[in-house]
Amino acid sequence: MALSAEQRTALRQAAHWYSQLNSDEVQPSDHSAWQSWLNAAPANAWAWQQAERLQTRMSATPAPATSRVLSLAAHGRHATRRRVVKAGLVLLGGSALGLGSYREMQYSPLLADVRSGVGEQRSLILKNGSTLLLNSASAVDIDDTREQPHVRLRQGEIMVEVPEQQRCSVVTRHGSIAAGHSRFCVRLFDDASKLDVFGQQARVTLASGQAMEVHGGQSCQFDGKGFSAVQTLANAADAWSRGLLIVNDQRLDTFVTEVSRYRPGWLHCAPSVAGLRISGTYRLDDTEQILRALATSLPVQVQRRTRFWVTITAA
Amino acid sequence: MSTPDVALNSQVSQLYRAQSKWLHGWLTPRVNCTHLAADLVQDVFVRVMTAADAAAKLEAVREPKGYLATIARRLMIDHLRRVHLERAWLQVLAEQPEALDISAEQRLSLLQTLFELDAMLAALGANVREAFLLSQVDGMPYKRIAAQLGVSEVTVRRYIAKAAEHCMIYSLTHGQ
Repeated sequence: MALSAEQRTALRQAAHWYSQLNSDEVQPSDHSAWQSWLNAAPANAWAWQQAERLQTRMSATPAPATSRVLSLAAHGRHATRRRVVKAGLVLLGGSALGLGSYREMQYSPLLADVRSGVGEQRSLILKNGSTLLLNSASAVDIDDTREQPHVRLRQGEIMVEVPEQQRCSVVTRHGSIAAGHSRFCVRLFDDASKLDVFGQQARVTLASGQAMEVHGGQSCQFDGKGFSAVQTLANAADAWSRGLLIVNDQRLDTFVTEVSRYRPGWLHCAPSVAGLRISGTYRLDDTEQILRALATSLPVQVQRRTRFWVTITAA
Repeated sequence: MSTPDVALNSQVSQLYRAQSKWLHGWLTPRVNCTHLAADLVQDVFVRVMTAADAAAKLEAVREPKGYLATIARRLMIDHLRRVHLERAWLQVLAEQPEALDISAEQRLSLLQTLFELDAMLAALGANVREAFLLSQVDGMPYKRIAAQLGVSEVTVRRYIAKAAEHCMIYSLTHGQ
């Protein structure tokens, strides 16, 4: 049912009284004030009926554990996608959408500002069924009011999946990417943007009008002026979207820089160990574990000045 | 059955024939399970048929795939919400088995109640929801809620009012 402005006002006042009268410190004066409010208008009496219905419903809610169950469930929902993967529940997971689908309700279609914290990933579904996965420390504005959603990547990295027969565009300060049915990832650096295409293709257009088609399995960087050479995608370049970091014979400094994206604070490695090589599969939800693994597999030690200031030096 | 229902039935069955396979294909990768996807397809069409003004809505639909996908997304979210609730339930059961020693039917009806409550409270902020549950379900005084959440009592009052307003509007607009 649609509510009139008068009804909404009355409901707001009823909610205020609901709160007052549920307090353990109700004064007699509160009761008389409530009584006069109740009698003041028919809409108030109607609104108070709604308040009583709510009270009845809440007090009829069984089981002493109800609030515990509900707050655990809510907590589970708002946990990051990766924490749920850790718990072994990958329901709407994999390549499509994660728990972030709940956040669907939390963005308004017009130029919503959605961001993920350090070490957090968030996913969203847009109206046309396209899904966005924000990697750690990322921010986007979304305009989903038109037939084709427009996403502006302001910071970090996003994975976009566009369903069949739909389109989606992603803009960075270096250029814009338009794609039909496809799966691609866009990452914003200070001086350039990088597009990785995992399925089908996407088209990049620069402000200068230059354009280029990037196909599945290809990666390309661009700044406002031009494109880099197209490269073949590194193996498991999209592992982050599954909560993993997979590297093969990578320099330690590159590896540490990558890991540092996923944890708050300052993490870096001393020049004397920067050139060591590392391979393996690491879980991004537990960077402490990654640091412990480093110390056992390489001749390095992890020095902690504080929890947020970690340096990797020669053992 | 009145005439419009017959017309609606044929409209829906036409839509089913044309789109159910596509919808199943759309859902499967999203839920990672072909059986669950098949169940959800059925649920989507049930929702299409039982929607208020179902016939008018179908008439107005320009893009049937988009319409079905919108319903399917809602159902996926509901499904996931239910899974979370059941997991939470099991966890609490593990913590305090004696508190929840009830029959299977009671369990189902309790879970349904919890599910409805959870849906009603979903849009609220964590603190608001917590305060409301502690007060209204557990009967905790505002003073203790304030201490537990680390906020002032005035804030707790505001939380309860905010939650109550939301719940009343939700109940009125969701026919509960």
